[in-house]
Amino acid sequence: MLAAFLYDRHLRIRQHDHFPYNSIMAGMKRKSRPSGKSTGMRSSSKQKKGLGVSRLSLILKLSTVGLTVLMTLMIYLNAVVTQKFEGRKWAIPAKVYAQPLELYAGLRLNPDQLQLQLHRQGYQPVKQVVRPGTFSRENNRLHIGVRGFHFPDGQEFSRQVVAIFNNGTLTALKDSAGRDVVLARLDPQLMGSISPARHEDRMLVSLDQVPRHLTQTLVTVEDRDFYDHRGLSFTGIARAMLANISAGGIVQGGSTLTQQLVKNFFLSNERTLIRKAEEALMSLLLEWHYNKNEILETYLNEVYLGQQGQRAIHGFSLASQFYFARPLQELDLSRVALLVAIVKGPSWYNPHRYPGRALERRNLVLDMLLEQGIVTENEAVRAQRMPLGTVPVERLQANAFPAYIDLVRRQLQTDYQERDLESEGLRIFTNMNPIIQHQAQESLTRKLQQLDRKGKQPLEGAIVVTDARTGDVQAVVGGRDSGFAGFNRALDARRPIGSLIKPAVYLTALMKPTKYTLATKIDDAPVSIKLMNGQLWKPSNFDHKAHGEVLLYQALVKSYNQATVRLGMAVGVDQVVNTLQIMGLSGQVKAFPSLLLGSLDLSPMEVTAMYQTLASGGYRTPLRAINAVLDAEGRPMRHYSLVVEQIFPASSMALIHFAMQETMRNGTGKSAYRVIPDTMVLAGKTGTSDEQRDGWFAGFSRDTLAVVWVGYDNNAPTHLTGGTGAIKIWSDLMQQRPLKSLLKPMAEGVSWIIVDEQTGLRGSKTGGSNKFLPFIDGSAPRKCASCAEEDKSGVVDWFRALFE
Amino acid sequence: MVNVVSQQFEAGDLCYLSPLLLMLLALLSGCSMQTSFMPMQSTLSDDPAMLLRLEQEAAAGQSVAVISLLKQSRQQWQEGNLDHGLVILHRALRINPDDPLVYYYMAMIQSALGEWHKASQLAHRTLALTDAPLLRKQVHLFLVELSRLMAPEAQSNQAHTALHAL
Repeated sequence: MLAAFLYDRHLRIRQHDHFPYNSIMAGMKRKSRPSGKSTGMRSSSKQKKGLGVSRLSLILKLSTVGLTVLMTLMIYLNAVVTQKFEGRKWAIPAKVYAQPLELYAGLRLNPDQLQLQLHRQGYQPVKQVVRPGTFSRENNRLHIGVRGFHFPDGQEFSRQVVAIFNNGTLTALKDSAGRDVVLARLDPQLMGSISPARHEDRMLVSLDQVPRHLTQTLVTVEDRDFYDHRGLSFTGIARAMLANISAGGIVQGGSTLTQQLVKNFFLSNERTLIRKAEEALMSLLLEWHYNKNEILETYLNEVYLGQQGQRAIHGFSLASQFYFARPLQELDLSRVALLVAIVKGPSWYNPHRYPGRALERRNLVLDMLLEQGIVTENEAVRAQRMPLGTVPVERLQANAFPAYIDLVRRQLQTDYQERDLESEGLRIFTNMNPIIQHQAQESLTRKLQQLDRKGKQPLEGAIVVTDARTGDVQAVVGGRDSGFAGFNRALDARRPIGSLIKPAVYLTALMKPTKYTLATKIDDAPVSIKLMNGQLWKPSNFDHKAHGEVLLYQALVKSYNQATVRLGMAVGVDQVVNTLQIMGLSGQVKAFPSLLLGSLDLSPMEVTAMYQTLASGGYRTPLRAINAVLDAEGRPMRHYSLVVEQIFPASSMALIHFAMQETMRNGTGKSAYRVIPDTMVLAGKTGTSDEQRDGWFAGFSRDTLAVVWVGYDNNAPTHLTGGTGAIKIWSDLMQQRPLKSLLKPMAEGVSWIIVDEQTGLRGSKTGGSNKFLPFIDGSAPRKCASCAEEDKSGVVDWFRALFE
Repeated sequence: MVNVVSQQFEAGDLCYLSPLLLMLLALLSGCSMQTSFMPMQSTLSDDPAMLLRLEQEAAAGQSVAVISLLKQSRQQWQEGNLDHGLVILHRALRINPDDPLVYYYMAMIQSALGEWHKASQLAHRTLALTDAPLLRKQVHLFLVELSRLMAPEAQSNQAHTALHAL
């Protein structure tokens, strides 16, 4: 029909086409020949008529062409509008959540830490808890309105709980009626997003989840005729003009919400008449195809509301988290007014950078609401008296934990395509413990400041913290500026590990109980080894002294290099490499002698993977940063289950644990007990690379393993060893944790025997240099030291050792 | 045979039998069951009454929160929601990573999922964490069952290896 119409128009235009030419030619002819009056009059009349027709014809032609162009444009724009609006509207980056804080009687946590965490998650302190997302505190009693949340194991509804603390422990958990609550959990803290290439971030919200006062405020301020117009509002434009004239500046825009949505959603920011025309046409088309609710919901999710670095904050839901660290549903009138105020110019009214402007605009929004009768005078005045209520910049819900998110991203890349992570709206539940993460960040920053030397570049560092038994990665700090998403030292700074390798050397030996025990004597005398290239390698001790014959465990406790090299060469470097790989070292390693003293470049995360095996008692437990992944609709996609694999016998583990506990008590790690109570049994090892370029400390309690690296990014020598630098950061972190003490190393087939420390033979309970040492059954020394009486019992007395 | 043994366990009589006898009974019970590659659906070890008893025993020195999660998990997996049961157990593990019963329940779910090696390792971890006689006996029985299930798989793997070698 349209084609027939166009053809018909086309024919008519074709017929008219001759007229102008003929008339012009006629006119020209007429102008060149003399003519009579009457003829002239007739001719003039004809000429006028001809000119009129030709104008009409031109107008018709132009109209037809214009109409055709318009029709084509409309068809094209219609396709654009419907295709984009009905398809997937946005690429939603995966959201990453921390481990939720579980609350139960017996939890070791002090109320200050809980309160701090509630603040981080945007819980609002109130006098009386009525709604979710609020809390009140009275001494050691916290009343919390816990938010509902969809966890990987199902929906948990909002509820009120009262947590009562005593002496650093949550002693009772009750509901608001005073009944015991067995277990409750906070909604997990949002850590950030897996940023897409475009850096456009948003959290989708449906219209029914949006508080009514937000939509009312938005419509009142941005487009009062929204529910009446068809996409364009001439009264709106007129009203805006009047408002702007009376205010002496631009306070109100003339664009409808539909136009704004079209501009943001379909078009560029170009300010041309053509773009404006396109905007108008598309607005009409949008209103033609879709209802007001669909348009409003899309607007609420599309609108640009802020910027953090390269990350653009879109939509009210994410903006609510970004500015106030709480869900949209929990915003009060003043905060809603601020968000709507920001719509006009997110940079100009940035509440962090220009709080004065933002406050003024927010109050203007509140005045508009009052004027329209949306709020009462009391409500408006009360809201205007409120501060802006935004969270401080450092607590913004952006990627505050970039090093951890980096780890999550890398672990996910084995199971998901990069583009899926950036666009499919996945929800990633991690094992990051926000309290430990903050403590690790603070310890690293604080202690590095103390360790820095005047006039020298600032030291750098990294920390990885895991659950010693399950391998859950609880914290990752990639540098002293933990919020900076730059070089992630925890994952990428591969540096020589120094003496951190020694437990692997000693474990290799102790796995051969017929040849080596903790009491085997090894010589810490100067050693020289001919290398493959013919050169002689002569390692020395840190103090440049030789200590003669020492017991095997003492050599590890004191971190003697010469004794370690002798032991390592005796058991075989290739065997040590084998132990390292069983412990969790990935990749190929060449078996060269200097490896025995840690000339092996590893990242803190790789060291953690190896020490995890030691900390968990010989079980290899892969480090797990991710717990579960849900799709955009909350359906479970994958659960990362615990995997354990016993790879070292418990008996050998008991021996190496003993030596590492002794390292903490009497060896290179003993300075930790300056800040940690000496009742706490810990195990650990220091590491220092050549010229003190790198300082390491890796140590664990029964429940927590932490690995710390300190050094310079440019690999310059530092003034620190692992025992003077990294251990201070480690101790500072560990003393903040409610640690569980390691147990006395015991296992089936392990016996405790008194040994004379001078000779390595059996000692007596009365001797001066005697010590209880664990032995794998059948490997204990049989002979007694000359200075010691024979132990009449002749058997192990590990039970007695428990009490000694 | 399976039922007979589990009834005996319910009655608590077997607590006084020697471990040797228990092993024998477990082996005998295995004789009457068909060897299968299918995940275990119902075994001696996941007898509801026995699990309830294990939970009651564990409750003495255990966090109420963990016991509650163990129950929730058991209910889920008994209803066939194995993954859901596993997710709940991970929650319990975050509260107490030393709880042997959590590892044992994980082992049973993994075995029901056909992940026998994982199940076996988790069961060994349970043994490393507990001295409780009843739980140790149950885990040992479970391991016996598991090794019987794993045997054909191991044989099959060996056959594959041999074929590849040819």
